[in-house]
Amino acid sequence: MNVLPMIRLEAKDLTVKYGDFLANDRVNLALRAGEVHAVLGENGAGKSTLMNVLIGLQQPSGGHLERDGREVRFAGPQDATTARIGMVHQHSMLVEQLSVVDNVALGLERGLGRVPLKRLSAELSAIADQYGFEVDPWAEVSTLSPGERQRVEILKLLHRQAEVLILDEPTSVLAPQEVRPLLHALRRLADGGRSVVLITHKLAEVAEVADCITVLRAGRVVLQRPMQGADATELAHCMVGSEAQAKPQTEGSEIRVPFGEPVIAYEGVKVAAAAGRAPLEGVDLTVRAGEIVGVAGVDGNGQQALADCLAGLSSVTQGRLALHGQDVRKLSVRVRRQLGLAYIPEDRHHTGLVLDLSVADNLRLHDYRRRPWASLLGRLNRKGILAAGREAMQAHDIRARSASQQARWLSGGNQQKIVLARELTGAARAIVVSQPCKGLDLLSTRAVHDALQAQRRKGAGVLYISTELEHLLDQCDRIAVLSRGRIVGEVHCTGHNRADAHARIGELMAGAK
Amino acid sequence: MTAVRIVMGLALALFLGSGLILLGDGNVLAVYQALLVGAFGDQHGWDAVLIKACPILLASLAVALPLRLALFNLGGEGQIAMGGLFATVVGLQMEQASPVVAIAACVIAGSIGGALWASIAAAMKVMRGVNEVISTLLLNYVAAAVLSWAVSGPLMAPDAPYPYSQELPDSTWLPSAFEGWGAHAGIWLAIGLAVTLQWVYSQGSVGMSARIVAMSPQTARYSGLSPTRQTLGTFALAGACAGLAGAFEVIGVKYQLFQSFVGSFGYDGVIAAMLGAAQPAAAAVASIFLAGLKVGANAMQRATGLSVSLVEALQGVIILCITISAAFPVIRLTWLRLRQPQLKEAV
Repeated sequence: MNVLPMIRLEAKDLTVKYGDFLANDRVNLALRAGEVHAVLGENGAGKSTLMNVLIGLQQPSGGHLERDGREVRFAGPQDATTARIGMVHQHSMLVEQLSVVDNVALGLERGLGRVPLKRLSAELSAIADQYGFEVDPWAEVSTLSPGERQRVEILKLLHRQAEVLILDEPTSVLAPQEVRPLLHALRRLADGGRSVVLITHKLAEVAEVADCITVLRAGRVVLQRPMQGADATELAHCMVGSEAQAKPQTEGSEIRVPFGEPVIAYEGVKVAAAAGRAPLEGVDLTVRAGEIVGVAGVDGNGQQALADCLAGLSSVTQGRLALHGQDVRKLSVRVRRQLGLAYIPEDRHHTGLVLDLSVADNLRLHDYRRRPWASLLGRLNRKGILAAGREAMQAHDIRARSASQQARWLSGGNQQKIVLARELTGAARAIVVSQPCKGLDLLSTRAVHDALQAQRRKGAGVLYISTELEHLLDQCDRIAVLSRGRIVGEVHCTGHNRADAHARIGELMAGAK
Repeated sequence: MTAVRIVMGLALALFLGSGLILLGDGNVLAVYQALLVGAFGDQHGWDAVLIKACPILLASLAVALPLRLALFNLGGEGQIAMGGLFATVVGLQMEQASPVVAIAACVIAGSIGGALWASIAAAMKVMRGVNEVISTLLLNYVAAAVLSWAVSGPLMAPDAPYPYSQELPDSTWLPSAFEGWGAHAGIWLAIGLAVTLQWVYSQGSVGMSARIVAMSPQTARYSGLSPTRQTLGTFALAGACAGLAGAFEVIGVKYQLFQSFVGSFGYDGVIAAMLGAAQPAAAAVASIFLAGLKVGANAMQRATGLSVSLVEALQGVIILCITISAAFPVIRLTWLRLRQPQLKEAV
């Protein structure tokens, strides 16, 4: 009776080398029809590399692939598409200015003649109905939410009759209420005979839908088993290895000093909407010294404006905004920093860092113009900057080949550590953090939280904006709920027990939405 | 790397050029020898080279500095014209002044003229997002019209048979670069400027700021830099360099203003800046090379009797080959900025 379903795609002893670095070391992976296969691993464990091989973006240095039992070699993504293997990338690969149908049509028809868009849209609607996706085929992609875009990408693959679907961190771009429907849809796809690969580092999601699990660490498969009977703690330990077990889970439950003077104060602050940024409609919020105040809410409810106006990146149209009691509305970014403001922005890649600059240079973004990093004549002290970069790499466990390596080539966690090292050294007294753990693995997330708690103990006030409610509940003293540009309520974490706080915040989020 | 590429580009150009020369029934070796000796063989050649190199060098700086911010200034022609116009207007008032004062006044006026003209495009860029390639290019035509109006109207010399200004007073005339040479001392200032800017951009925090703004404007704002101010400042400085070229042409070479005094130095400057990969010092070397090519071409024509068009085609081939081979870093910088959001992370 124990007949295993057919293997759709199999990787045998797959090895990928970058120089002397083994990104994948003899990885074996069998993707069966009708199964959801979860691939777990921390950042840099080799998940992306493995998937790139499966979809023909990367040539293996050793081992091979078998499609339905026959050895195949993909020279490029086109070959993988022909072999009915498709991938939904973490960030949308759609052309924003085109409609959904246009995007599906792209690369589909070759040769001259008109593309039968009407027929295509009918086909799309049919597939969408079958799997319960709501998508308007004629909508322009730029008007769609990240969740809708993701559904379009899945539809596109289904329309191409992909049999193996690979999804890279699909839930990372979704609002909490969108996660479950997606997981259910994936389940249905698998039940329909397809083979689904789910790349993630969120264990809870895996438990819900996966049939099999493969855990990668440092390029190797460290665990491969059916989901049934798997234990979450065991999986977590597998993913992070021995390092993580040495430290306690959180440091939230220690004795706290009483809170001090207000360091950040929003009084009826309004900020106008801008391209891709929701407005603030009048926010009152205070953060005192030694306090961590969380801001919860579904993404796109004014979080960006809340952080940007304090950092000096967007102007306040109404209300008052103060740091240590001083009105900062008219002050420049630089003066605000001198008042002790530190800002860890959500977008590491385009705001927090200059990816093409070195690690050492990125650590000096705010002070390279001042001594000792520049002489009186303005000459950069390159040696000093590099030396300081090496020290910071040591002190903050930033893993890079050298201090002069471009930030682009570091993993997300290490990139975030550069930002932390830069923002949280010196006399940061008011700290704004926006989604600091987005895309980070467990160890890096812990490093971020440890750094924030250390600052709080030194007396800084922290405004912690996040859509990860669990993180907020772990770290914050008080959580304000932001909805449609307003604070719709606050929950004290110390008084309530965790479940009550969670429920109350959920009500607040739902009530105003 | 760049040096190797340039040498390869030059070799390719000479090879392709040989074909052209053979087609024109010339002796390849004799032609190239005439080119080289004509430009750099004696004092006479060098003198002519330095005269031409000065405006090209300054115009190339006007292109190279905005390129550091991944912005393209094609307005060298117009900025040179305005520099010349301002310098002439001021210079004509300097009858009584001492040479030091007169020259300084002309130089400052020329720089201001060029800076103001470049700032029009920069202001449109930061206020309305007008593409600087288009605006700087089109402003060249406006500048040409203004210049034409000035020399055929208010500035036109009395009794002149065609539009040119009165000759400037002696006090404004630049001294020679060397005793007895025709080249003016402005070349020293131009070279000094190139070296200084090279130092400032490669060693200084100014260069770092430019890199940050060019690579990630959003990060620049986050760390307290203003892309707007950088754009305005850099364009003003670039315009001042080009304006200086115009002033030097007037007070160092022509001593009067007329419609065509700009030559095509503005566009030569674009080529020199690309050849120099937006490095001021390298652009300076490229400018001298381009000037040498122009001077050598004249000598080549005189010595070998090849037709003018062949000589020009040869120049074109040489410039094209070297530009293509040397301009890679610049193209990549601009390209990188354009496709940055799509760049993939490693591993």
